[in-house]
Amino acid sequence: MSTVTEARAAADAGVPFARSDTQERHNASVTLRHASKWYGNVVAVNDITFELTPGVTGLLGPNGAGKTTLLHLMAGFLKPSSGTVEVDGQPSWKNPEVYRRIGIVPEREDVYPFLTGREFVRMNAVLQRLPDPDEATERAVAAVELTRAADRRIGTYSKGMRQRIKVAGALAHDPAILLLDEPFNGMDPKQRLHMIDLLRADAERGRVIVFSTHILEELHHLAEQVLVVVSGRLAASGDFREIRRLMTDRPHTFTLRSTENRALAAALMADESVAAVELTDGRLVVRAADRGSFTVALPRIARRAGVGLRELIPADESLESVFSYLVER
Amino acid sequence: MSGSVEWTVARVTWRLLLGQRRWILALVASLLPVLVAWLFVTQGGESNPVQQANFFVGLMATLVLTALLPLAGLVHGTAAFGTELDDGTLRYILAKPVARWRLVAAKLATAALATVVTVLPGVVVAAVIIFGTPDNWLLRGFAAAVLVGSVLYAAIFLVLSLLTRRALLIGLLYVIAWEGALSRAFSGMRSLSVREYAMAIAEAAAGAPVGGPLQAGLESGTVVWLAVGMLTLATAGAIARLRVLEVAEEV
Repeated sequence: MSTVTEARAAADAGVPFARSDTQERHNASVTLRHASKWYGNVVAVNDITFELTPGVTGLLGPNGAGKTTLLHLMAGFLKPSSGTVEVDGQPSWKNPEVYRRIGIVPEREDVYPFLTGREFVRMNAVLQRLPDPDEATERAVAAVELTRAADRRIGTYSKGMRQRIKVAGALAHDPAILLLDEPFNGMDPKQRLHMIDLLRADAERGRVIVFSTHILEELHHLAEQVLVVVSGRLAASGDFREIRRLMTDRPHTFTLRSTENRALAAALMADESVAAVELTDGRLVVRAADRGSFTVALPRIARRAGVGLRELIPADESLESVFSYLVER
Repeated sequence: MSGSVEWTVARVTWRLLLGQRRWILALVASLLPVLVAWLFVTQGGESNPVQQANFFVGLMATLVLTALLPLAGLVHGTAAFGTELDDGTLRYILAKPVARWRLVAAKLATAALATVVTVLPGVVVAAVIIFGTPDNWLLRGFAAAVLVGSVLYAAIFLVLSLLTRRALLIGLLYVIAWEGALSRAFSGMRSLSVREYAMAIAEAAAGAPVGGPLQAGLESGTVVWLAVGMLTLATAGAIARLRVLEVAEEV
């Protein structure tokens, strides 16, 4: 059996995408100390400090928050305007050697459309100067389940397939650190689940994985740690559940219509989950102390007051407002 | 796709250049000397060897070395890095533990080769039409000029594409204003003109007789040093620029 065939068979048999350098991976880290990046008067990243160790970290924030700039700083594509960005203790800027340790999946869809998927991954393997680029290519292509489509030109790939072949290219040298910019864009639910499984399994074997997203739910099944970035600043960081709790257990505004607004307003004011009630244009505007306890209490309050609920609209639910709340805390 | 880092980068670059529509435009433009040569012979100019030589030198000096060669160099030289910079795919090449001079060397060699392939066939075919044979001293001279000019133009426009996103426009102005007008009008500027270098190389490689149809404005010995200096400067500039190139934000 040839090396390539063996690699294919191993990958098809579910052999994990890893070499034997797990110990080396456990030492992998990405460290930012007071890192900032500005373009003229525009501050893209503002005085951010954190250290990433093995595991999955989600970079959450609205569009334009500075997530891509942060990833580019980590990837050595941008020079920090101030502060330091280090990979395994080495500066990432002007240091091509760090790319032995880093794999990068950019957000932009463009991948050489004239290359086949296999040629693209092999190009990455050759440029990484791997001793056996063919074996690495087959393993990476199999890891993202694109073996069947590997000889098709990337120009004919769907958006989800392009995302996967980019991931395969980044995995070709089995990096200790994987940086992914919005990796789930364009993937269907099945592809998403597969990618989540792949990244989670890799993280368990000691890889540092960082991925950016503006969708909270994408973090749910994958990220252990979350960094929330808003307007270039680190608004919050910590365990996913804690961040999620902060986002849901915050003051919320609801608009209500009922069969008897005045009676309902009086009943609501007596409940501790409600901070303020305003009667306007035939509607009640309720400011709840936190969403969780108010939405549980509301049906009970209405029933006791003998009032029927006709409409309940949560307001102020844009992602930006959620992030703004985190910044103001 | 097999082989070394340089070979891999060169092959991807070659396919990138080949896939661009501007390659087709460059190829069409290169057919111009063939068309002009064909018009010359159909007008009866093929009977007189002196007339043939004068016409061929005029065709090379005015059309090929002044317009087609710099334009082809501009198209391929700026595209070697520029295309990947524009669509963001350069990240896949840059995010590798590869010395930047290797990337520049591979891209430069590919862009120069693409320029030669764009221009030289038209020159050879035009010579065959005019002289009736490819075995001609003037063709040998101008073939050498195209080879040297291709490398120099590719290097100049390659570094330009790493310095500015408007490399195509600035390069075009350079071709028209500097190579096309200023360096020909003022003798002091000849020592910084690739066109003048190419003419001197053509004269030396052809072994052109004194007083013949091919007379360059610069000494070939001087030109070799100037050309080497220009190539070194452009290549070193490209390597230095690539080392500190910041990849722009996603748009």
